[in-house]
Amino acid sequence: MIVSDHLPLKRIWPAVSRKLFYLLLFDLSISLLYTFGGMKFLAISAFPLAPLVGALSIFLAFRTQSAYGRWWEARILWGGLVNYSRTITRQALTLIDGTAEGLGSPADPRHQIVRLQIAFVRAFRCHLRRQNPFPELESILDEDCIRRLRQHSNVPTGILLESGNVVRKAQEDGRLDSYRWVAIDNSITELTNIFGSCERIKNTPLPRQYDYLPRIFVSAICILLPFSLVEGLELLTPVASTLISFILLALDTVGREIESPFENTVHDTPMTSLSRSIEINLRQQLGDRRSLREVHPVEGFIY
Amino acid sequence: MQNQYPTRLLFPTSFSDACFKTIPALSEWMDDPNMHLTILHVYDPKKKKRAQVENQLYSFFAEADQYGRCERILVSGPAEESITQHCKQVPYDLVFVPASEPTGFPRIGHKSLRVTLLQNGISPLWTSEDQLNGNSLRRRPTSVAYVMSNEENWQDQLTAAAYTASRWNVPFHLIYLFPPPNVGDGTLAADIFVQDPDGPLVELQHLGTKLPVPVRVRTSTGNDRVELPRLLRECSADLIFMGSNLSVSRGLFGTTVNPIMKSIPGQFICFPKGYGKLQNQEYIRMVDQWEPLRSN
Repeated sequence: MIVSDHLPLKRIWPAVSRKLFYLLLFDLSISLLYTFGGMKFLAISAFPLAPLVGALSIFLAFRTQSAYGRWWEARILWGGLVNYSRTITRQALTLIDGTAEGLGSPADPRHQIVRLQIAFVRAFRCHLRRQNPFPELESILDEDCIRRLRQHSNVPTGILLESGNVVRKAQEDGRLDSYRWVAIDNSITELTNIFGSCERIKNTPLPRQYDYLPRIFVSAICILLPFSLVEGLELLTPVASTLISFILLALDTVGREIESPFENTVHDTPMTSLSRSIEINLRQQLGDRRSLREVHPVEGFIY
Repeated sequence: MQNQYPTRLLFPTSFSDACFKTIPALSEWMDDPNMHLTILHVYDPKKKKRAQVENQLYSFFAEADQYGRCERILVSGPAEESITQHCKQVPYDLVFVPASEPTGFPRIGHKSLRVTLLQNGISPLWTSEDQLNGNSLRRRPTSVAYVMSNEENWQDQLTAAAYTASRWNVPFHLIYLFPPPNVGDGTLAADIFVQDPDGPLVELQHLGTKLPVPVRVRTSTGNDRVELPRLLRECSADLIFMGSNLSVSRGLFGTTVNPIMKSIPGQFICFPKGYGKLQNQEYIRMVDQWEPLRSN
């Protein structure tokens, strides 16, 4: 996610630079042919530039709005993950019976649930970024649990199943009555819902027509621009045309980039930062004295 | 890296998009308790304060701290020289350097870090041009290939590639491209390729018994820019080892890494000219995330 006050153009530049370069050459040749080559027929003054650009702007704005909707929903879902992670930790620590001394034991169900929740958040992030979660899980889960999780193609779901089993075991051991069990299980269900919603955003792209048509229209208008401008601007046509093209291309590119908030780009939901915040909170709730570092923006971007 | 797969990884980072997109590939490599990762950043003290850069270094690839086998090193000075110097001082098994983000324009006078490390370094270089899509970086390799190029230490290179294939438990292919035949001088068909066409294959049969995986040999002849990608596609190689002769090519705007890498979506490991001179060097001490940063 971009947190810098100014948008660093060099991050957008690679995507549009090649197109702009070819457009500049094209605009330049139209301008030279019109001015020095005597090809006056190149000027199409009747070309309805303003209505076309206006119509395209509406299309681009609609597409950008739809893409932003996805991006914002992703952020809301991760906000929900923060809340439910804190909730399930609080519930594990306050609803499951046990002594303060017992909490320090890794075999204690309260301890297990909090560790599994930290592991879930790590695996959740990795799953959305299509990244291997196991190097991160090995430091927090025992070998048997890791071995079981390696059997799952969907590791976060496997972790939630482990959490459910720990809660059930605590209930069987008499450390949890049915009402409290249901309360904790509801929180696990909410985590499943959040995970499913993020997977939906990840796996369902914006309708391809929203992506394809604006791209075609932007390209068409960028090509037609110099014909419309050359009569009035002559040799200045490449400057004006390239500038307008850059604006349209940048709008198109930004809309396309924010539509996928889990794709390892600078436009992502800042999952690394959020998962670190969750982990810090959960460790503190558990009484872990070791402090983890906060994740700060790097060169204006937070991941 | 001889007789074992790479375990000591260096990731020099400029915090760019390309570096960020390399993280999924690194996490696949790190899924092994023997792996150790060093993240290195070089900064200019005239432009940035150390405390600020420290925060950035700890925030970049923050999840690596969870691995427990990761250290971060902050060095001040000119980036290329410092990284090259560091790689010479410390014998890493693999240095991760992805391709820079494409600007869309030829970069006249650009000095490639990858080329410098391949020409002057001693550690193999991991690289990838698959930045836009990045699919090959997000999954473990499914097929390993070694492109043989008649270098002195080709046996070491082959062994290293074979052990890596064994580590991933995937098929291993040896790719060899015979030089194009010179048919204009009336030579006989039997010896138009090389003077001793069976020489490398006989040696390979001897060596094959010592390797941990069976070797599947694929050969062809012709233009390497056409034939190599074809052979690599045929064997679905997505982790490709290349010798230094093939890794670097001289182009119109200077020396660059071989353009073949752009045509194959996968991970490449290129052996530098000085590969094999790693012995008798002491390896750096590993620290965990709570240790302070070191400054060179």
